[in-house]
Amino acid sequence: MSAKIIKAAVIAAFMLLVAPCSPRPAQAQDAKAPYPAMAPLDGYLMADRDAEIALAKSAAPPALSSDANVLVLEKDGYHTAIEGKNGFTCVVERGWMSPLDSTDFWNPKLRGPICYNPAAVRSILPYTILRTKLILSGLTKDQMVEKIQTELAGGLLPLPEPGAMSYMMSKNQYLGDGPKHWHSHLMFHLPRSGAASWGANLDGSPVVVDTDHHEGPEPETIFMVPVDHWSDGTSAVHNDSASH
Amino acid sequence: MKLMGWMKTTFAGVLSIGVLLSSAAAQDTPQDPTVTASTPRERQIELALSAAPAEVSSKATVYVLGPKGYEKAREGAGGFSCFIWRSFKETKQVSASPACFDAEGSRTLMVTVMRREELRAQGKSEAEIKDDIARGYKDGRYNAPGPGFLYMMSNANYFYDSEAKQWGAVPPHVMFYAPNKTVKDVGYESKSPTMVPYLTGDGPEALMVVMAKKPAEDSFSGDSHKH
Repeated sequence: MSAKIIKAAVIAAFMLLVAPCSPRPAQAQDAKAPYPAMAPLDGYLMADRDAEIALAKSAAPPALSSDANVLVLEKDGYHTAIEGKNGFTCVVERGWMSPLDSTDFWNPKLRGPICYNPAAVRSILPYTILRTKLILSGLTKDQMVEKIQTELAGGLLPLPEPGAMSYMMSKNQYLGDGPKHWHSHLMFHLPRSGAASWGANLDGSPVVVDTDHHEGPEPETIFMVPVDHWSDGTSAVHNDSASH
Repeated sequence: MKLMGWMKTTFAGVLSIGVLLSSAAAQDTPQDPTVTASTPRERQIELALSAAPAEVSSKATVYVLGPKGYEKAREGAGGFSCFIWRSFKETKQVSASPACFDAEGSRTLMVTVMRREELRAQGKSEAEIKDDIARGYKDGRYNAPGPGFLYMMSNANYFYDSEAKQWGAVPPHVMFYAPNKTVKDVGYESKSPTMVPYLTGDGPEALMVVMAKKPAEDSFSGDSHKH
């Protein structure tokens, strides 16, 4: 599957937890979306805390996730369930971490297990925590974006650190009604940049960037690299046709 | 892919890399894939261009090895630089890796790659070269790269396994610049194929290596520039 096809699948079906986009088109599409508004909160929560922990840890190989910090979602935001010791943090992200114009933004079934490395814990995870907290506090998308922009402008939020990356290698990920578990992949969080200058999204390139959505308040460009196995070591090579 | 083993070598005495060999790849590996200044210029260009997708390599600046080090064979646009990256263990060449740096790598790491070959052409030892590069980072002649990555997608990327005493092919991969990152930043020290990315090198030249998922056969049918 070429990078362009991968990218098309990414964009068409939805995609993971990439930088948000302009709120206006998103609001306009909400009325036609299968999930036009936030569902009852319980739909986003996982009643089985241990299951959420296991799902979060499944984002990365056990050698990494077994010693990671783990967050679980509660009614007011993320809370630490397991204190880690290797500097990594694993969490199951929800639909509101997807692009604002994604039809799955309010999809209560969406589960995005992800493990952040230490540099990303410091410089990327704060956006997940903040966005989630703002959404759960009842802010609209526009208000959430405005709040993040304000905090970023005030120096209250970090810029992506060099080496910030994350793992999305769970075969149990559910990234939307279209792609479901998409590809096992890594994400490299870099300061915002035009993809063309990086050589991404080219035929034959394994590096994929979502350039079809407008950039949002988070000051990053995410470079995704599909890999050929899931976090449990099983092959993901033949997943392409099955996943979307 | 049947695993044959790991090999470890050094890149210019500074970087180390663990790579995966397949039995099939090993069988296809030329007996002597080394590249020298006497390697025909057109062959060097062909290999260099095989490192990246055609949309990158077709516009890249290309360097070839000459008697005094790298020579610019072609001026490109867009900032990418393609060349054959060599490494040595003492006097033995232990890698011949077609590579394409993006603009950031061309601005930073490429300078040290060129310096290494310049010094080799002058007869300097690998230890002397290592010292020169280290001094260069300290005195500001060289700079660690900012965000970016390089392509090593060629099917003609060879490393010498000093334990097995044979050459083998390295699977296509990309490497993200990760200056001053350590194994703690990728979570483990293992370099097994199921542990991605893994870290290679150290200091300003540390890199996060991702063995990329192989594209479908219809989009990847050999050298990465041939489609």
